[in-house]
Amino acid sequence: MSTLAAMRRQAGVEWRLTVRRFGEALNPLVFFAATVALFPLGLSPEPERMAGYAAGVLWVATLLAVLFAQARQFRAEAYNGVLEQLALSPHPLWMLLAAKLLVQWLVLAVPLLLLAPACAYALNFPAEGVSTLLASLALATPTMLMLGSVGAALTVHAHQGGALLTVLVMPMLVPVLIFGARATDFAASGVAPDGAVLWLAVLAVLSVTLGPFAVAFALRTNLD
Amino acid sequence: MGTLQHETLSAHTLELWRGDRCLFRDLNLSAAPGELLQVTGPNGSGKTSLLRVLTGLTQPESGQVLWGQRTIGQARQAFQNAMGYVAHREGLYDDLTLRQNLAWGCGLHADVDQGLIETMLERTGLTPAADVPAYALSAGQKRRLSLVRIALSGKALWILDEPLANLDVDARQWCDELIGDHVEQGGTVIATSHQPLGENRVARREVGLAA
Repeated sequence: MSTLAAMRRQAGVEWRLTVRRFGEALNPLVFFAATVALFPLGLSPEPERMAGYAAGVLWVATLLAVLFAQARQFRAEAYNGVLEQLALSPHPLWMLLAAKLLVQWLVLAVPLLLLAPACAYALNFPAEGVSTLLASLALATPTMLMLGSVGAALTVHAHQGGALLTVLVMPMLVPVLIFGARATDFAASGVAPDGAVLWLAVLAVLSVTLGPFAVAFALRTNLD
Repeated sequence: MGTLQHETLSAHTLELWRGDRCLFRDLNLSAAPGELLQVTGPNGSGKTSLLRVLTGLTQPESGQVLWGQRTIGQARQAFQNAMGYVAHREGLYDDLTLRQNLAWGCGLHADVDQGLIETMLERTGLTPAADVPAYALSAGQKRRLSLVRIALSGKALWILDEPLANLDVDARQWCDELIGDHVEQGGTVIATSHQPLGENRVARREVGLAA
């Protein structure tokens, strides 16, 4: 009955649920691609101008896609009593949640990272910036996911929790957006993006190490 | 199954409010190994809230819940190792089959042999539904499943919220036997119910909540 085995089992359950609800897992990706596709129609389809706003568009689309994926996080588990059982199990709640969130990150971020170069190409984003784009997205998505999860945990019992989640989490995500978009922009224009990327790494380390505790704490408070 | 050696659960001068209503105050109770404690009271009198306080999910306004000599907060690891809770919300993943739910739910608490799971499913008549997703089960089937889960988890202290709810006549009989067996083997059961539990086999004490 080791905690590691319980974490592995929890990750397996999460994966199985994703496969069951394949359409739901696909939703944020479709949302991401659609947002990216709409900007040239709304702003300008000129290749030079597209290259100018590509970094910002990719980052805003990523952020919205992650928030979109998180809107209903923990809802079903709270409603059907699974959270209670997890909270009362002999294992630390944060470790079980960490396993769950790891699977969610893999399901969300890996396809997003595969999709991003294609979207960058479509927006005429300079090829020399793509590696920085991918690196910074890989570093930023854990932070986005953790902050979104904390927000979702805090609003799990609130009616209209989705709107509340956006209002609550959006300001906290602004630094991630700024560092990410700047790093990508610098790389595209030939400036070294190291500083901004390192800040993203700092935020990623903080959110990965502290995030599961924060989510567990928020959920426990809300179970009362 | 694990050993049923365990501490006594006791509560001292509990007080709980919901909104501007006092559900109970100065409530004392204890349940030692080999005891069945039944919580009674009309609908809305706070039976579920009391059970949630005993599990540690809800913090009371004042008073404390002890596991042996320590509070359940101090003894959280030992307490959660020994305690199983069958809640009003069953705690089943809607999209997983009954078998998968059971493997997950029991796996949270103990290494349970798959053969034992199959035997228990057979005994409760759930085998034909074992590969059906939980959302397609009836309320009674879900209740039977959570009872099977707690029975297989090897817990010493069972906290049961309306274990007989939604069960048919046969399943009520089975559930009552399950409770009786557990108490006879030295386990502790704290349960809410509107009808007497333990079929007069085991000593039963009652805690009544007022409306």
